[in-house]
Amino acid sequence: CTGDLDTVPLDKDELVSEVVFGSDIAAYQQSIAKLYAGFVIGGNSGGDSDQDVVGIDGGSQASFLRVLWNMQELTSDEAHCAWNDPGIPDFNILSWGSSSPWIKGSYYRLFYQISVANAFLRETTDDKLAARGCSADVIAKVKTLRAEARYLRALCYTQALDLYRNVPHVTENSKIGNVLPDQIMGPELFTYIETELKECEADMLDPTVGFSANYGHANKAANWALLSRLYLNAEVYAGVKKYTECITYSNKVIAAGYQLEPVYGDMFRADNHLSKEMIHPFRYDGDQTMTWGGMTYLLCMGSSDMQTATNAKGAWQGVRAKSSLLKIFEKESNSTLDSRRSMLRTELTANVEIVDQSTFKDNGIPVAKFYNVNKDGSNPGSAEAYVDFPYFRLGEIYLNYAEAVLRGGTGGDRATALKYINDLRKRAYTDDSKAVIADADLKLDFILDERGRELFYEAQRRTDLIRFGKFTSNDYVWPWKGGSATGTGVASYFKVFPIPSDDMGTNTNLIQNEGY
Amino acid sequence: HVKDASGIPIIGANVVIKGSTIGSVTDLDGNFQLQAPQDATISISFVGYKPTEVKAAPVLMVVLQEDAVMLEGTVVIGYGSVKKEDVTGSVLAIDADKLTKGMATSASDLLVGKAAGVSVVTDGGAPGASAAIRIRGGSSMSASNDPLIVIDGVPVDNQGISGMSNPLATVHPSDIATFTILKDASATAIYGSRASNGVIIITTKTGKTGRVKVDYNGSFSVSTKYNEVSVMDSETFRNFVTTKFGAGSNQAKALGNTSTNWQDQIFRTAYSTDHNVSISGAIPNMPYRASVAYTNENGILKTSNLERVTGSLSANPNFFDKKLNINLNVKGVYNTNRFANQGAIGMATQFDPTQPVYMDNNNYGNGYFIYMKTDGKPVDIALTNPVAMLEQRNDESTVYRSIGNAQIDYRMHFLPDLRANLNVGYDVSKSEGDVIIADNSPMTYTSGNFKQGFGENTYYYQLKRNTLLDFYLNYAKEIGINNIDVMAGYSWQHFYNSTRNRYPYSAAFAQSKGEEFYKEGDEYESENYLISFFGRLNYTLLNRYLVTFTLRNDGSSRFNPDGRWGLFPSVALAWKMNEEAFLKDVDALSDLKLRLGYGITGQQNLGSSDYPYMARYMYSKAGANYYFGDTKYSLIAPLAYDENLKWEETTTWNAGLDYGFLNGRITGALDFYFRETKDLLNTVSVAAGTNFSNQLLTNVGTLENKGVEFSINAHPVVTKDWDWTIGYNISYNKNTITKMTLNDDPNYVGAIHGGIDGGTGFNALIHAVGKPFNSFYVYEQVYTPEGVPVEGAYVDQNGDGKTDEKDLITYKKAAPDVFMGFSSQLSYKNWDFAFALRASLGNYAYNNIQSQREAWGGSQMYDQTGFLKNRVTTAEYTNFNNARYLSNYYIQNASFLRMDNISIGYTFNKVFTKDQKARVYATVQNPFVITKYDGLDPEFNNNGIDNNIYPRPRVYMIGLSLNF
Repeated sequence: CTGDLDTVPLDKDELVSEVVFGSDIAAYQQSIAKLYAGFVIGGNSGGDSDQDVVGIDGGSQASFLRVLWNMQELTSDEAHCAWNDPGIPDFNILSWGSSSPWIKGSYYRLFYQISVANAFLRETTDDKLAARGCSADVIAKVKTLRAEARYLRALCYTQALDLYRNVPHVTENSKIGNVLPDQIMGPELFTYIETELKECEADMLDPTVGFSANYGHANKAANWALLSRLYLNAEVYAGVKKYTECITYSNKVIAAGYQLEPVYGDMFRADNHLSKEMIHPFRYDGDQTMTWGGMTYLLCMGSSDMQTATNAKGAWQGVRAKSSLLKIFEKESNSTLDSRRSMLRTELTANVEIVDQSTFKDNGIPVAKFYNVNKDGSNPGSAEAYVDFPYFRLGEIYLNYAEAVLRGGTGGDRATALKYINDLRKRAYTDDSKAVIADADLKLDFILDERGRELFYEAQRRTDLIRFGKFTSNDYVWPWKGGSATGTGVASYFKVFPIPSDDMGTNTNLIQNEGY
Repeated sequence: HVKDASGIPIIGANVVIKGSTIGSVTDLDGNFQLQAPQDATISISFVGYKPTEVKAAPVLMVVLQEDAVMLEGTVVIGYGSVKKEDVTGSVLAIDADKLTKGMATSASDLLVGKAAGVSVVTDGGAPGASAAIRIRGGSSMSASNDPLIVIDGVPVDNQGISGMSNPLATVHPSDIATFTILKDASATAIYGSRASNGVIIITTKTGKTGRVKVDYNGSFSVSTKYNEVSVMDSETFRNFVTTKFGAGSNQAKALGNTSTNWQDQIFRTAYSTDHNVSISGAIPNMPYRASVAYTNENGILKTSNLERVTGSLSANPNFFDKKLNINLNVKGVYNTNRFANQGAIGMATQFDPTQPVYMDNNNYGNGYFIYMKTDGKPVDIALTNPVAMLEQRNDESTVYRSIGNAQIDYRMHFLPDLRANLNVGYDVSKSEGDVIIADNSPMTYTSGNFKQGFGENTYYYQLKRNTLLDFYLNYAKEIGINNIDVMAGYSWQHFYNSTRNRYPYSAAFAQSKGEEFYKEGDEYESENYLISFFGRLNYTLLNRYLVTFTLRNDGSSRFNPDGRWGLFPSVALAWKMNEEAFLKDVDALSDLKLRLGYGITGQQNLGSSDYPYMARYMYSKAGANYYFGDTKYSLIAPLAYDENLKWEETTTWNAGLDYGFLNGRITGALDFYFRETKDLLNTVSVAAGTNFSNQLLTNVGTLENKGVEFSINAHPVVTKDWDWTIGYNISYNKNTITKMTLNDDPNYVGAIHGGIDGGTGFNALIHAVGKPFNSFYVYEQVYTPEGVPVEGAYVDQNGDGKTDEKDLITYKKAAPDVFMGFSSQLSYKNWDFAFALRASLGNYAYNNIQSQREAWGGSQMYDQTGFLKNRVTTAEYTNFNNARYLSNYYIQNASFLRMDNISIGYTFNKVFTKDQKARVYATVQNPFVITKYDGLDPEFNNNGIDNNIYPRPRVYMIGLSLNF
């Protein structure tokens, strides 16, 4: 009776695809939910268990947001981490190699997300849906979800383009198994992402401002926001200027009706899902999205002195701001009126400078930007993170618009740019009259500083510094850049991260980024 | 009248007039009557005794001698047995009663140090701890390296049972009759896909014809801690902190004002007992044996306890003049455990010795000392009071397991050379356990997902149900100078496993939070089948030249239908040289046999999924959901898979020599082997974007093991009063990885793994081509001329002027080059004295205890929330500011010589009657270890990373055996 060998999984939660996907919409929604959750938590079980990316720490190195934050912030003029964990000091001093567990975690997280998106697209073709007897309504809904999967895949590829530049390229037509994908170079990858986003746009949901039944789903505005960001950096990614396109798509987002959250700090609170500024959130919902990475990290990484106020579930103390971030604020004469500046809690440290790289206290500036507290001061259900991370918010789009105008893009104008910048500043300042800048002040260097003030700790700084040519150069330094206390330039190849040694050892089609 | 050597009547012996068919059988008193001619020869025979012939006489008193040759001369092999002298493979049979024993609570304990090529390392000193058994070094990287264990014909589940540390403990050691260890492929290949790591066949005791025998064995033992990690005491620590940071520093302010030796606080002197009783005998034509044992073992780590009742029952009836033999075996265990929280061991080595165990006037921590923040709440990232970790956590399990089978062997009436054998068996276990952490205990503020003072409790349940059916035909015939023995069979096995976990909340939690769940339960079930066809041919020419050929075809449900069948052949040749004319007259030589073997074996014990080749999806578990709007969605994740996954294959070459001198006074064997494993079942990195994980279990890589084994057993002194036997074995094994990835990229350093305690993400091990697996991967430390390590200074291996990851080197490994066992048993009149020594050479350890507790700077010794962490005493010497986890300074030689046990006993030959024997004995287990290693114990299982082991106690034991 050799027929016994033909087994199928017995468990109700472990299924083969023929069983998972039928004519009902639920499984398709749960599959796309996995793709969204992959940006938020580290695994398929709470607390980052059943890790998606394995062989590294599930809550830290395998967490999309936590590792992205480290790569964008610790390497920049904004933040420093005192932990001695492998790879962390390397970020602080801009000296990393291809076996860094963080670089590995970030890279494989992106490709895990891409693989899940590809699987979703393979399982939801018209033919398959029809064969399963899906109704027209289900087919229409799945069509929207397919567009979201393509958008999320493009988001991952954009992140890969930004961090690694030249990466393996897989789509829903690639095979699962022992195949070695080809490498796609920056310019081609840029074009691929651009094409994908434009193709999937039509099938995505129309923009909805504020909370709705579809909150959490990416809609057309998210697509446009991603294009805005992509075009702003096109010169870095592909050597082509796309500032006009950046303005075009920034305008589309703005026209959709998003509004700045009236109080700056409220954008980073537990009930920020209600905000009309939010374009694409990574949703955190307490013990339903339990993780040691993501927003839990952003809440817990700082000083224990602020733990009660921020309602964080822990105080891990390692991360603090560098004095260079404070300097960006203090360039302005009225910086004490800037509510963004007050998130730098200089009163909680005896020394704003980081004298010793691995000492926690009185060695840099504690920062409280994210609060696991509602706007009205009440606490959410628990100390688990409820704050959604604003991956795209209107504030950034304003800044993109202004910068693209200054960089020569057409379709926009300085006056509107100035208005957007002043809108952001008026929101942040306690006194509007002290907030506004004049047209003469609106310069590119000012934009970089303003991005530092507006978007600090939001995982964008490294990209900004690279675009402004200041990430590796010697003309703009910050404490511990290049390993010296006062800062020094580093080799320009550090602008992109290396492809992790694991994939170099596996995929012989890959050529390592220059310098590594 | 017929009796045995001790004067017991033999019932049912055959008494026949030689050359005739006239005969009789002895009655219940051993008497017989027979009409025979005056000069006739009467032959008397009975199984297990040497046949005896006597001249007929009116009154005969015949004493039958036990046939030692016959009892010892057969070796159980897979699906049958052979005469020991006809074994062609590398097979070692061990009589369990002849082993020197310490405190043995499971079968694995008995094998420690006893066999060449067999390494047994227990998982530390916890009650009922399991053991890693490795035969010839292990052939797998990601799949299991455990040998297949067959108990009375049932291949048992050795993969672990929830709530039971050592699954082998189902059989009480005193019920074991023999171990047969099949080492080379020509011996193991009959087990095909499960044979790559060797096979251990355990046979339990059965009843014997004769009078009813009752045996009792009981012992009482005292376990003590004999070693501890050398950490600073309160005074030294106080001075160290003050010297480093100054009297007014935050660090100095964090010092407490008591003096606590935390390692004394968590350990204790523990008392254990073990009793077993067996009764055996035979109802005519049905030998039987029944035994029951009770074990109560307390561990030296406070709260650890194991209580176990094992029972076994066997009956071996025969019918139709022994043409039909039936073996029935049932074994069972009922086991309750309380597992101590072993995290307390590591914690005790770093908890501040200036702090007390208990504190008053605190609402938090149930009276145990706990670190508090200035806002009056517990510090959530603080170290946890080690005593509270033990006493406030109740981790108990109950396990039932039974293994049983019925084996029916029928010798055809019409063709006695043909035998049919049917074996049906089962191995079923059911376990459940609860882990309850007391509300408000220190742990509830420092660990878990919530840290809100609620114990995060767990309930688990597991059911494993494995069933078996084997059938084979065996034909054996001697035709002139040819001896043929052919066997062919079929085997079917089903393995079913289900688990269920619940996370019940405490009353306090429910009251505080309402009835909302805080963690949903989960459950899982899966199964797999293994179906096999197998055959063996033994051919002997002139009783000198032997050939064995085996073939097995295995099908596993774990693999794709296109690749699930694997063919595993083997061939062995043996030459009994001592039977040749030119050696036959050499009296000193009693045995000399040359063996050559070749075979291919497989491995399919993945240890992970039963469906690794299928494209599957898995629903998310509690805490992993996503919201759209206000609607919660659970997640469906695609799982990584390799649809072409197949067997791992090991090819083994073996050359061996069995020798015996002086009529068996000196015996032993010498074996050389070479094993190559290809298509390793290996969890490796896969190209990004090509699967649903960055790592995948697939077939990639090859590795080699080569080695030499030598054993000698001698019986140097045998006189009326003195009897001395010694045994020695030595094994050398060299492991090399010869291929690691699908593509041979010379720049690929290897698979880095082996996470260590300390900073998240440090790994100290590597699998690299050209090196043994689990080599260490570290920096080469630079030392001052005085030999003190220079902090952070490593050799710049590639000379590029900086030390970075390119300067890491593969350095040493955890597996020993050589290991040896030596045992001695000496008796003088009624006294007996025995000991067992064991040595391991060339094994290195990463001393993670030291590497994590040596640096004093930054947050390593002091956390800004206001608490200190104790340091090892060497911290003053190395004076490291930052932890230097990857320095090879921490890779230390862990070679050792260990005295496993010493015992002395006295036997009373006559208690009430002369059939009643008693022996009293005293044993010291683990009296000493000689090693250069700085850690607690040089011997542990964790691929060489020493970070949190339950120390092996020194055990003093007294015992009593009674035989009636």
